[in-house]
Amino acid sequence: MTATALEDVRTEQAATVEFRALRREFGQTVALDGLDLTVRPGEFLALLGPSGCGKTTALRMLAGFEHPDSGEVLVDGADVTRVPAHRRDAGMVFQSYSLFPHLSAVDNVAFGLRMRKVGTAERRRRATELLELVGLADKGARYPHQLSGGQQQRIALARALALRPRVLLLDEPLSALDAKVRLTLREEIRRLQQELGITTLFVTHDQEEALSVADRVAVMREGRLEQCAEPAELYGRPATAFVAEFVGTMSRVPAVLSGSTVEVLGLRLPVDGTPPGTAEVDVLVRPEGVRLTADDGADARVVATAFFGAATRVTVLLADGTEVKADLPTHEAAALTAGTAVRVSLPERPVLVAERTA
Amino acid sequence: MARRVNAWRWPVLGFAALYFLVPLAASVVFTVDVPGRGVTFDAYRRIVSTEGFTTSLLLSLELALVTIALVLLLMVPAVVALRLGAPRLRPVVEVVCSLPLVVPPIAFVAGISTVLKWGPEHLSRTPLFQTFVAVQNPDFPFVLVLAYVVMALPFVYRALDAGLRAIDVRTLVEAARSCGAAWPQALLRAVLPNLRGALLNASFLTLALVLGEFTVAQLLGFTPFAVWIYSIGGSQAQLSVAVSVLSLLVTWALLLTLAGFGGRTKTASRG
Ligand SMILES: Nc1ncnc2c1ncn2[C@@H]1O[C@H](COP(=O)(O)OP(=O)(O)OP(=O)(O)O)[C@@H](O)[C@H]1O
Ligand SMILES: [Mg+2]
Repeated sequence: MTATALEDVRTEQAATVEFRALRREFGQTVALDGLDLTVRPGEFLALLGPSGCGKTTALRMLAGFEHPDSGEVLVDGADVTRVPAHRRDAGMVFQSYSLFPHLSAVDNVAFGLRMRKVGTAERRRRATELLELVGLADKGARYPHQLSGGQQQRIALARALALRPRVLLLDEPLSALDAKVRLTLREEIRRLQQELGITTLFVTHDQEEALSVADRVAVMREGRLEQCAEPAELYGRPATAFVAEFVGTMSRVPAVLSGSTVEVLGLRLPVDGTPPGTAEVDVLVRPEGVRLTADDGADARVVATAFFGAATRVTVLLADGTEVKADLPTHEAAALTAGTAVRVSLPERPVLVAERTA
Repeated sequence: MARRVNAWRWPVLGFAALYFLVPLAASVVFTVDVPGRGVTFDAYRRIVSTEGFTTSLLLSLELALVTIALVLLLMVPAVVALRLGAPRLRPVVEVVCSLPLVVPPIAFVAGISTVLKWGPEHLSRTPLFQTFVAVQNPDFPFVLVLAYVVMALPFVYRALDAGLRAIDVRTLVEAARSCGAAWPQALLRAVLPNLRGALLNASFLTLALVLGEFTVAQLLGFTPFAVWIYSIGGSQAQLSVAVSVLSLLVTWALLLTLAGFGGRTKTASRG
């Protein structure tokens, strides 16, 4: 990649994006139910949430393909709700392959420039630079059907960047790709985003993807924002039980709350954050925070093991019927075959507590 | 399995070729090989030199062109709008567009001629009277275009629908719009080029329909190519066969031209 290519594509000034009390209903379904979210200039924000929680709807509102019933979308403080999609200055990469089948890769990238009436020579030059930027300089003459899925999405990314948009919108751009391509392409998107310093919204329902590439992750649930925080904080200090269970794996262990401590698995541990009002609670534990020791006298049983490579995930059934997942180094887990009696314990650290659901 | 399919392919193809080509070849031989005089193209020469050959052929071509233009202008925006805006209305439109297949041409033309008779009587003192006269101008009977547009609807709808099914119209339009294209541009630059095959198919079918259409034109009293060719072939066996061979060749030539045109624009836009 050349320095000039970067200069040509870099946005002049990264934009701030704000969603304010966005609401949108489709007949009976409420897609967005008062979404509030601010994206900082130059930030890579991942929108994460289960299927149907309104991620795509939110993104499409910023792109101008969808209109809110109420609420507003602000870009740098200016309400853009009434600006038509083609003047929004938002580049978008779609979940499905969206290249124009009748145009070659380079013409696809140059499409926007053509719409803006940029001259042929200039158009070609810019399109070639963008192709270089996404590492496909040699594939310019190919048609979409001659490109792999990953290559098509790279071209789509180049096309989205061609007009130097103020915001880049990515709606699950990797979900149609196989695991390996997905991994390399997401790193590449991240690298490009950092080099260009462009404000980016990245929709995904894959929590690992969100945590690994984003500056901040916004978790949505049923049309609302649940929590928006940096990946480490989201994982380590989830604000709600929903976030805790959606991001990463969590096991719930029944416990009794008294004051600011909780009694769980025969231990008394301090509560992290404000404890709920009821005494009957669940302690939320990550698999890497659970310890297992083989003990013939114990009443918990290993029911399954799953080999992940360096680690092995062991599923344990407690005496009261609760399932707990634990990650152990593979060499330690070798002895824990199904049926083994084990003792389950937690480290002496503050634990997350949630109201008991079942 | 694949080998067995391959083995079957040639006999089937051969049989189909025989089925089509033998009668054709026999017809051609019958028209050019006159007993006692050897090979002669007299029959064809007589047709071409008969009064009305050029005018009727041109009339048919004009009718076909106008019909294609009109039916595409009507149907392309309709089916695209249907896809994007009201997918639930699709069955309704599909049924409406299929109606001409169900109504026999005789009934159709009976309806049209009733209207054409009724109209001037009741509207003789309004400007609409002139309209009725104008659409029946024998030099260019626009009423035939109207009839053909209706008759072409089922084919055109199906061709366009198949074309639209193969592309993701919504995503293409949205991709174009996010690249700064306004609505009309998005349709023109992102959707239409990808419908080229479908447009070509629709034009093809309409052209074939208009060139071969006999009932409506004959009963309304106009003489496009099909009617003319029928009128001159009637009395002589050799001439009438020559006439059908010729009309087949003319239709083929036109369809090939259309196909060639489509192919050329395709390579041109890619170059
Ligand atoms: N055009 C539409 N018409 C009717 N309902 C819609 C429409 N678009 C979205 N919805 C509904 O709104 C809700 C939110 O949809 P949205 O596509 O935003 O979800 P999502 O979070 O992107 O889900 P996914 O991860 O599956 O893509 C869903 O229940 C969906 O069925
Ligand atoms: Mg979605």
